[in-house]
This record gives sequence, structure tokens and C-alpha cells, in this order.
Amino acid sequence: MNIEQFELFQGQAREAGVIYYFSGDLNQSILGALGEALRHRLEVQGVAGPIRRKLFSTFIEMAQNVIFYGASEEGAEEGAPTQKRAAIALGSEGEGFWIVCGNLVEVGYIPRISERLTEIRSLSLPEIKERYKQQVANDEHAAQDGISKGAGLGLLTIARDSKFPIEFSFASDPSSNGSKAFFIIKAVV
Amino acid sequence: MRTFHSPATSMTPEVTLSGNEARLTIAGECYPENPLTFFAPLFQALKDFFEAGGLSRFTVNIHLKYVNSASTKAFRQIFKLLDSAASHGVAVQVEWVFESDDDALQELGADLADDMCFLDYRECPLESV
Repeated sequence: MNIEQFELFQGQAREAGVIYYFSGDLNQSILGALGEALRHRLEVQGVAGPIRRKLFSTFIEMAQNVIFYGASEEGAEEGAPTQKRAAIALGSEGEGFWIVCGNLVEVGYIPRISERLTEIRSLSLPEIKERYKQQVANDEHAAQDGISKGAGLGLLTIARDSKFPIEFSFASDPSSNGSKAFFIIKAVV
Repeated sequence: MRTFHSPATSMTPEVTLSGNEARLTIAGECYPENPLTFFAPLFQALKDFFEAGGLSRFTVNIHLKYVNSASTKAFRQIFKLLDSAASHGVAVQVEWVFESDDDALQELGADLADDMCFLDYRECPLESV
């Protein structure tokens, strides 16, 4: 990329309302630093407390989903600390803020992610909150769901704070010979 | 006397269990990668503390700035431990502190307390500055 291309890239990001953008390897300690930087940025922008909290929560839930469930890159060392490539952008549009996260997932996860998101998209806010409450009290979650590494609440938490149903898409990843796909998730706060 | 203490980090809260004061405080950020691993030493310390007996009252103050969804499981376990102690005659009071405009934290506390039968749950909203 030459300097002119970089200027173009930045100009396009500005036009799209980008306030914050990260692309690279994600792990838990990087997440801590990114979270602090995001909070600082939102404070400087004068974003109201409740919106700031929702954006921070959505950011952490999306990023921890990547760390928990994202596909590792080819050639990653066995036993090395969890390190997942991802891109997360946050920006403003009109009165609201959007937050988008993209990362690689194993294609085998596509049906599971699609089903969960499609179902959550169909729920109203009271239904999301009711589902959340039931799931908080579900002590059998770990036994029922061998894939989940959390409380089964991450996507519900994102949906609860999003003004519109969560958007998502999958795109093929040519570099992985069809074993992985690029997953994108978007919420609007 | 501090029975158990874990200092705050950028992603985990300060946790203090004081036997002398019969008090547990949890304050700060809470988004560890593995919440159950983070809270396991506290679960053990609390269990040992309640098993030792001789306790008439116990106060818990939880003031989180942010809690990730995965950590709700750990708080569910803490509430259940406290409720069990309360069912055995300890007067357990839980103060759930949150900024008054933080609906998510308020609702999480209410959801956690909803299933509990014996502990005394108190919402403590703080006026936002």
C-alpha cells in the first residue's frame, strides 16, 4: 500500500463514520487494552453513559466470541496462547452507532451460528430478556452444550443492546481450501 | 483479617473475603477469559468459611463496573452458595451496587436474585455523575 492508497483507505473509513477500528491478532490481554482504548475514545467523543456501556459490552462479547470460537490460523503452534485474527470496527451513523466484527470460523460451525442468530433475530426485546433470564438460571448449560465456553448468553446480550435485529453473513475464505469461512456480525446501538 | 484476597486487574475485580468482618466485597471490572477458573479460589474460600460455622450474619457488597456474559455463571454460583448459607441460618445480605442508569446490571442482579429464597437482596443504585 502506498501513501496515497492509505489516504484513500482512511478517507473511506471517515466517510463510513468509523470511530474505532482494529484488525489483527486478538487474545485476552490485547482485548483488555483494546477495551480501555475504546472506552477512552467514546468518552472523548462525548457518547452518553448508557450508550457507552452498551457499545463496550457489545464489543467485548463480539471479541470474546472470536477468542472462544474463532478458527485458528493454519500453522498456529499447538498449545500456544489463544490468538485469533479478527477485524472490529465501530462507527456512528445518524443518531446511532454500529459495530461490526469479522473473523474466520470453521465451516462446520456455520449451521450452528446461523440457526442461533436466525432464531434470536425473530425475538422481540421482552422475549430476548425472558430468554436471558431463563438462561442465567440454567445450571445445565455446560452439560447440554459441549461447544459453548461461556454461559450461552453472548449473542442474547448483543441482541438485547441492539436497536435492530443482529445482521450477519458468511463469505468463503479461498485461502483455507473451503475449511473456513469469513463470518461477519453487526449490531446497532 | 483477610480470609481471601485477589487484587483488581484491568479485566478482573478486587475480591476480598474478610472473616472478622463477615463480609465479602467484589468490585471493579469483570471480563476474565475463563470466569469459573478466576472465581474457583473464592468458591473454595467461601465454602470453607461457611462450613467452619459459627456465623450469624454475612454481608456481601458487589459493585461491578462491567460484567461479561460468561461471568454471569460464576455470579449464579456465588448467589447459590450464599443462599445455601442463608438457608442454614446465616442472615445473608447482598448489596448489588450499580449506576442508576445501568439497566443491564440492574436486571442481571434481579435475574440472579429471583431464584434465591433465603438471602436478603438489596438493590443499591448510585446516582450517575
